[in-house]
Order: sequence, then structure tokens, then C-alpha cells
Amino acid sequence: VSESERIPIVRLRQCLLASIQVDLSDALVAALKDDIAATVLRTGATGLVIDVSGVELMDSYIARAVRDIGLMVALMGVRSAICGISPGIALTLVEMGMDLKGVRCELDLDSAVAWLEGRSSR
Amino acid sequence: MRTEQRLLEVLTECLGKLTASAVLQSRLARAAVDLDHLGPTDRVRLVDEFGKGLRTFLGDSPKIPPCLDQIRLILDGQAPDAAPAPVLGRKLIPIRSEADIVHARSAGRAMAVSMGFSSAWQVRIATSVSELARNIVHYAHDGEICIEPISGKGDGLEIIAHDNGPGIHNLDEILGGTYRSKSGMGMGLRGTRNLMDAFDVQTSPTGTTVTVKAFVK
Repeated sequence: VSESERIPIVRLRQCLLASIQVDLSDALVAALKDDIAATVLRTGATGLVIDVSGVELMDSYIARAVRDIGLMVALMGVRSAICGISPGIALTLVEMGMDLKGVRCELDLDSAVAWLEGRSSR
Repeated sequence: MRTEQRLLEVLTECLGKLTASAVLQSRLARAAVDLDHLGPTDRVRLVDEFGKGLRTFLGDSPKIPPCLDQIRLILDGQAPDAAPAPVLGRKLIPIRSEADIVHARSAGRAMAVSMGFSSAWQVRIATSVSELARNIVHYAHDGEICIEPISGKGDGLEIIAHDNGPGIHNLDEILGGTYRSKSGMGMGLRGTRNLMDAFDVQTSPTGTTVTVKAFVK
């Protein structure tokens, strides 16, 4: 995966934010996993949001890979949330029998950050 | 261009190559039509012109009427009012690498969109194509996916994933949901079955073919 294709990870206070706005290839997901682990280590962030609102499709492999990123950072002491799963993707994952157990899902970026900062109303 | 070539072949049968070429060019110029965009009156005029050209060289030869019939057939195939309704083509995508998975699911989605599937179905179809392509890359390494519009009980599309891999030896376990590979790959096939309207697997030690269908609701 070339530098220009990599998904940028931005820091927002104590949180890292990775917003995926492209069609995810397996290589891209693998690179994201490595980048997030390295960035967590470097910045000492305590939270992570993976925003998939720009993703049109998640098959079982990609869904699992995104979930695994959440589980991975949990082992590093980082709370994480996935947000922006579209209705079509949500429906498809449920019908396939795929769940994202172990990872918090939030409707949008706003509610994900609110949850991470402990001011979630839900 | 193809039409011109076919016309030349028909004329050559009666006139020989040189004369045929001369007749074709002079008569096309006289009729002043665009072979790629023929109107109904253009056809009549062209057949008339070619009839005159043929009679110049052959007189009242019995070869002329069948030759003109063939010319009519060729031109009919080109005329817009005779053209069949545009049909969405079938797409054949070789699956050899991970990049082909992305390619295949984009093609699946594009066809679902053009056929008027709902947005939820577009995701189901693209996801199914992705799962089937992924299985080929991971287990068979080389195969192909064919996406084709079908009509039967309503319009739909058919996705055929074929490979010459080692086959699926534990198909029943996978489809029954009792099998979980480390990478969770069994889920792809079972998930695809759940997503689509029709699902069929033929597998043997020499290859696997998965056929799924979805119909526009």
C-alpha cells in the first residue's frame, strides 16, 4: 500500500480518529491495522474511533478485520468505537450472521466521541 | 466499418473484388448515408442504389435478387428501428489476486444499480460477489466470476463463481454452521447463501462452482 493510499489517522485530544472514505481492499485494512497500533504506541492515545461512513460495502472478512482492530487496541488499553455503519451494511452483516461482538458501535462520529469521553447519553 | 466490410463481401460474391469495391464506394457516396446511423429511408435508398450498381455490371442476372436480399439483411441489422432493445452484457472477471476482489464487487454493484435493484440489494449483491471472489483467492488461487442478467420469474442477475481448486471437502459442515476456520472463512459461503434468493454449490476435488441468483423485487 503506497503512502498516498493509506488511511490517515488524526489525533483529537486523547482520541485517534481513522475515517475510511474509500473502497476497502484487504491490503488497505492490513496497513490500517499496523498504522493504528504504531500510532497508539507513539501518542499514548486512550481512545480510537473508526469511522466507516464512507464505506459502501463490508464483507465478512473486512468486517472482521475492522473488529479485530478494535479488539487489538483494547489489549493495549485503548477504548474504541466503530461508527457510521450504513443501513445496507448493517442489514447485510446481520443476514450473514456476522456480528462485531466486543467492539462498541455508534451511529456517527459525534456520538462515538461522546461515548469515548464518557458523556454519552445512552 | 463492420457493415461496410460485410456489404463488400456480399458484393464481391457477384462482382469480384475490384468491381465490388468500386460499386460499394460510388453507391455509398451517391446515397450519402452514414452506415453507423441508418434511418429507415436510408436502407431503402441504399438497396435501390446497390440494385442499380449490380445491374450496370450484370444486366438482369438471377444473382442479383438474392444478393440484394442479403444486403437488406445486413442493413436491417444496423437500422435503429430494427435493433433489439439494449441488453446488459454479461461480465466475466478473472479472479487471481486480492485486487480482483475489489474489481469483481464493483462490477457486481454496477450491474445491480443498472438493473434497478434497491440499495439494500445492491449491498447484498456486491457483498456476495466479494465473498465468492475472496474464497477463490484464498482457497483456489485462480478462478473467475461471471455476472449475468437473467429473466425467469422476474428480472434478476446470476453470479457464477468457478475455480479449478481442490474443492470444498467439508461443505455440509460449512453450510450447517458447525465449521469455523481460524480466519472465519466458512462464514463467507454460508453468509452468501443467506443473502441471495437462490444458492447452489457443485464441488469436487477438481474444482468448485457456486451459482447464486437475486431477483429484482
